[in-house]
Amino acid sequence: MSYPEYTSGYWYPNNFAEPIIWMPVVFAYSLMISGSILLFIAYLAYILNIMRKLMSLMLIVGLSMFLVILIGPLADLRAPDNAWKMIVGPRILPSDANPGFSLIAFQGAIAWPLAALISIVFVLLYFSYPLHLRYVETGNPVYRILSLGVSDERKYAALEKPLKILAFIGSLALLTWLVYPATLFMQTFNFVWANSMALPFIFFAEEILMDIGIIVLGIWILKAFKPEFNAVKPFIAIIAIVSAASIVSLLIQVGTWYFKFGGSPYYTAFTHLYSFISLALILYLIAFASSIISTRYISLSIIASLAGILGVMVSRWNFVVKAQEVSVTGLGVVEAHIPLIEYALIAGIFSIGIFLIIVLGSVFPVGFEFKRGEGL
Amino acid sequence: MIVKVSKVTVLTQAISRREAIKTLAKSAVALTVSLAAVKSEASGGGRRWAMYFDVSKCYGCMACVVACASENNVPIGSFRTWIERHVMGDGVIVFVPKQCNHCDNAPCVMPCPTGATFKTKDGLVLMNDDLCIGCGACIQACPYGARYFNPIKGVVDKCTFCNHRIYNGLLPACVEACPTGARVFGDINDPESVISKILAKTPTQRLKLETGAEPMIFYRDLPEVANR
Repeated sequence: MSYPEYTSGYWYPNNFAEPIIWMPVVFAYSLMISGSILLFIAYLAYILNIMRKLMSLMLIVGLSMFLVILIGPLADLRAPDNAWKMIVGPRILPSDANPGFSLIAFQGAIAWPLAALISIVFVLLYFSYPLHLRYVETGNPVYRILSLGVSDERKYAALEKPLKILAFIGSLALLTWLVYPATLFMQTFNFVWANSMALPFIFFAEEILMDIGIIVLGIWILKAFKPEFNAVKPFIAIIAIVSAASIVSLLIQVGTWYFKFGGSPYYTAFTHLYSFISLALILYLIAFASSIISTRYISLSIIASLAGILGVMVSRWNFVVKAQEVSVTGLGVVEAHIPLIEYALIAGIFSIGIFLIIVLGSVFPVGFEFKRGEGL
Repeated sequence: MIVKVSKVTVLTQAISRREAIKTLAKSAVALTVSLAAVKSEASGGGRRWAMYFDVSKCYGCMACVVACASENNVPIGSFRTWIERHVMGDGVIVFVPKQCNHCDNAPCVMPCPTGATFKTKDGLVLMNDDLCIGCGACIQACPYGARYFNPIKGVVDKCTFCNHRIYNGLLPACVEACPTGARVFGDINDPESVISKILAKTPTQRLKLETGAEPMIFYRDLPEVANR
């Protein structure tokens, strides 16, 4: 009897047969999650009474992305006909048969519906008076319905306090989404995830970079229709800071792997990620450099935001898909075959998000600023 | 409704403060005792199924793998149990059987969003196919690679310690098929069981204890190279 050579290293047979368990889920999901941070920033900004000019843009983009977050996980279920059971009967409370606490159940069945509902109500109230003005302008009854009867500035100004309360509750509901990489560390046994202590910082910095990149692109698109809408400048510095933070956190992670595993057979598991990390670092450097230069040549901010967004996508693919190509033992690596349909699924999920941004962006008047006493 | 209210009023007036305190104290004691009893029953208190592998007796015949696949309709390409072949530094070949460890602190149970993965009071980690949504969180959580998507059932699948056999007085299929007795199965809470007697006198090892999973598969002569 002869035995085959284990050219891919030490694998458990079930993992070897199907190394990638979460594909469109974690990738699409980890990018769409930026919507939750955008909403969170919008709520904080509303409470603190800052960035009012950008509020409408942040709300529309954030809500559009947040509403489609769960499509990724749903697209990847092997028994989707049972999916409703998680919504109807999520396993939240521990029992003898089911000890512990399922973060997935909490996020999917409690935190998402709650945050989505609050965000929809907030957006409707926030846009109520501008929608009434649009109704007056166009005579379209849909705008009248959406304006919820807020037909004058006095009524709209009175909404300020309830909106602040709603923003506070909404930001609390979004908190679990801000720490969502916790699911990867606390409730999985992926060798790379379990040994990447800087991952929460990397993810957080990258999400902000993604958000700011989208906002800057959004501002440029709005600027095409409203030349007076000029709000890019404050974001250039943020892109520079966050891309630098992403570079530093990635380098810290690489250094940690080297000092902990360098010279051991486990190190190959991490070098598997290095080509994509290098690419992400180059893109972040481009984002950083072009954001610095764009303080002088403002149109370069488009390159800064695009490079930032691309860098985040490369880095996420690396950490969530390529990381699954590493064996649970930490001693094997494969190049997994990813069927074409998976790319189509990911593109589909993003398309729904973009479609929602376009629909909501055309229904709701984006780019207005309300000042008490001065009006819109 | 009115009658009930008036009865309560009369009762309150009839019971003195001392009697009321006595009754309350008695109720509290009774409640504590009954809760403790329920807890003890839920945590098993009886059986705790476990398995013992004598690595030095395994010669890699794969009879257990075939018996398991046959008994449980395991699809081709997936394994509820498998045998690893390790070549030691001195050229000696060691075969190490592996499977679900039915952990005491099973990491796969916690992330399950529907409770489809659960623990029985006898320590088995099982699946409820009707509840499984196939999210794969349990597969990602298992440090032992013991879970897989069953393409026929459309849900996650794993070793059950042949629970359809063991409660009918039979051994798990893999244990019954092993020609050398490398696998021993039984109740470690029963001091008279074969496994308890072996564990009492044999030094054993368990896989990946650093995960905190508290696996319930005990190995004899497990090489360090296989403990990954």
